[in-house]
Amino acid sequence: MPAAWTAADGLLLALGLALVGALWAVEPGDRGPASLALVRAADGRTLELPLDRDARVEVSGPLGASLLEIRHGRVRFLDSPCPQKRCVRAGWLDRPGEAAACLPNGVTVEVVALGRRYDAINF
Amino acid sequence: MIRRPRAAGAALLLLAALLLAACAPRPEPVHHDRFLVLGTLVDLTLWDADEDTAQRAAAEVLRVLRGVHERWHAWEDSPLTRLNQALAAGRPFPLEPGMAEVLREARRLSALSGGLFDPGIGALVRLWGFQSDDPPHGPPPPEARIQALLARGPSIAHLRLEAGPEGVRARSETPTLQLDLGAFLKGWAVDQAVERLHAMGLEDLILNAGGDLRASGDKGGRPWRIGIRDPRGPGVLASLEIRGDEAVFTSGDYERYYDWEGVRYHHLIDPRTGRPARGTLSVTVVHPRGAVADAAATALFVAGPEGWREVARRMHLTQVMLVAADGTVHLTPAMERRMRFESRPARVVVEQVGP
Amino acid sequence: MPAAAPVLDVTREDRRVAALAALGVVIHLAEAGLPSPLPGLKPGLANVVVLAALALHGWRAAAWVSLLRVLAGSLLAGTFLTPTFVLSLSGALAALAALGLVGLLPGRGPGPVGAAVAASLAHMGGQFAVAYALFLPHPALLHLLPVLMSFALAAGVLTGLVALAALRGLERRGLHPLRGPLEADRV
Repeated sequence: MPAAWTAADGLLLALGLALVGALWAVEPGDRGPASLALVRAADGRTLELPLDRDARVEVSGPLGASLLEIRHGRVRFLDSPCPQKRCVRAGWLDRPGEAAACLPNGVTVEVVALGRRYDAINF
Repeated sequence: MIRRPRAAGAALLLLAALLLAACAPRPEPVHHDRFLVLGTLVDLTLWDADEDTAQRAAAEVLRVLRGVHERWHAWEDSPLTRLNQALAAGRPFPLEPGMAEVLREARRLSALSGGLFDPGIGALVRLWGFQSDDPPHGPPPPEARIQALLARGPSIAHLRLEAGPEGVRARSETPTLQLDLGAFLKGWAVDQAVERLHAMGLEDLILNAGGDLRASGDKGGRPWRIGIRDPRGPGVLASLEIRGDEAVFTSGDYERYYDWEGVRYHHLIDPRTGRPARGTLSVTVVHPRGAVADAAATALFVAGPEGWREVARRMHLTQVMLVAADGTVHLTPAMERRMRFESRPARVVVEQVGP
Repeated sequence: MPAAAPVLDVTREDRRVAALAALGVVIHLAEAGLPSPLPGLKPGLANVVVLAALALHGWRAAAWVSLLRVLAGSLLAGTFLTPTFVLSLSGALAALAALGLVGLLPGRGPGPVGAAVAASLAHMGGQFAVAYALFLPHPALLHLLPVLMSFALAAGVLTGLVALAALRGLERRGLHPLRGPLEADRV
């Protein structure tokens, strides 16, 4: 190994910087902890589901079972026994504060950021 | 000096474990209850209440809210619909105990708002299709019918309340006056319920009726944090911390509406034009009383980005946030100081309200 | 492969490797006493000896020095065969693999700085990968990665500069044969 700087050094340094830069771009690290899907049923039961684990959950209400799906860090109503299916049409939720509700079945789901959780949402 | 070396790996594990401990949600002594009432989902949050008290509190809240709902329902058979029928026929109507107080307060707030909040336009609200359990839909009503209604000047200002030996009677000379207290009732009901809870000795609570809420106390020394939803985007626009006993009410064009041929028609009708008010996306008001906050949010929405300050002055409001249709956020100085934006909006205007 | 040597015939290379490994352990222990922003995060200056071994005697010598340091270090610290040891070993192996790869670059190959940067990033990356896969597969851990790798980059440059200075010093004294890192392995 030459006791000097070589062209390969320059290349390796550049690659190293590019790698680290890419990591910062993709994962800034200060985005904060992961999010939860906060599910509430008509009877007051609550369920907290981390969004980083894919899952399907059935939540029962007076009309039957609403089906929620978590995939790739997002949550949505997959199906629900209500007539209008507004909850299903609400689509995917992934940012803290976003929420969808099946009012007839009394089921709500809200995305909540750990550590920066709001005690209530006004809208 | 030689210490036991700690390889980066052990430290990595320790650090990660500490981070995980910080991330894991800690169980808090918070009691949640949820009811379907007042046509919406109502959440009651209590801090550090024992099971027995919490259950009694929930029962009380449900009782109060159901009572308001059943008495003041604008289209299902209720004392209100019967009152409206009497008003339409020009007949006087004897009010049940407690109703006069609500009507007087509504009338007072309407006057304060310069008529921009007017629960007397029920006929217009029905004309636009917002008095129904079905989701609202187009087409919008013909201009002629709107004008015909407007011409007769329906307004709660024309409501006469006559105290007599058998109680208070309601009367009106304007047959088009039809009462729809939707823009005010949630606030009133929440106030009644919260006052019952205070009387029960509960101070640290949030009562959230479908997004409009009143909160008091705190959670063990830490203030309640309320997120205010962005009227257009997903997620939260801004948040604030509750101080003491306050109501936070928002009127938005996204609550009840329909789109017809590319135009959005929402339920916040401007009493002057008979049509949905334009220029505003949402208004948030913070006030000690929910009834005032509710009526004010509606009135300010109708007033829009140009006229809201005057209305806020008349109604003695200090904490208002208005999101205009162009995305500009208008705030009073007091509101600006306590509002924490998730991401700073493109344009923010802080305006002093009156003397 | 060279002809089998008598068991106790210690070559000069063996002595050099042992000396370097011992020096590496000493530097590592000294560094452990330094304050650092995150516990356990050190510049890794002990890797200077690995680079020296690489420059002077080739990759196999460097591998010996590195693995001996990990082993001796864990025995001294009482962490032999613990998760700490596993992570330490993973990092060392990853760094060695990187050093082997950069030696394959055409021309003169990398100098000490380039090699140190590659080795440092590989070391941290290897440790992280094993920690994530075997011990803590939690996404929150990923938030640490940019910080750790930035640190590794800086530490690599620092270590490389120290190694460069050391090698230049050796060269002035006529003790440094100018040869590529893998020449020692060509039999």
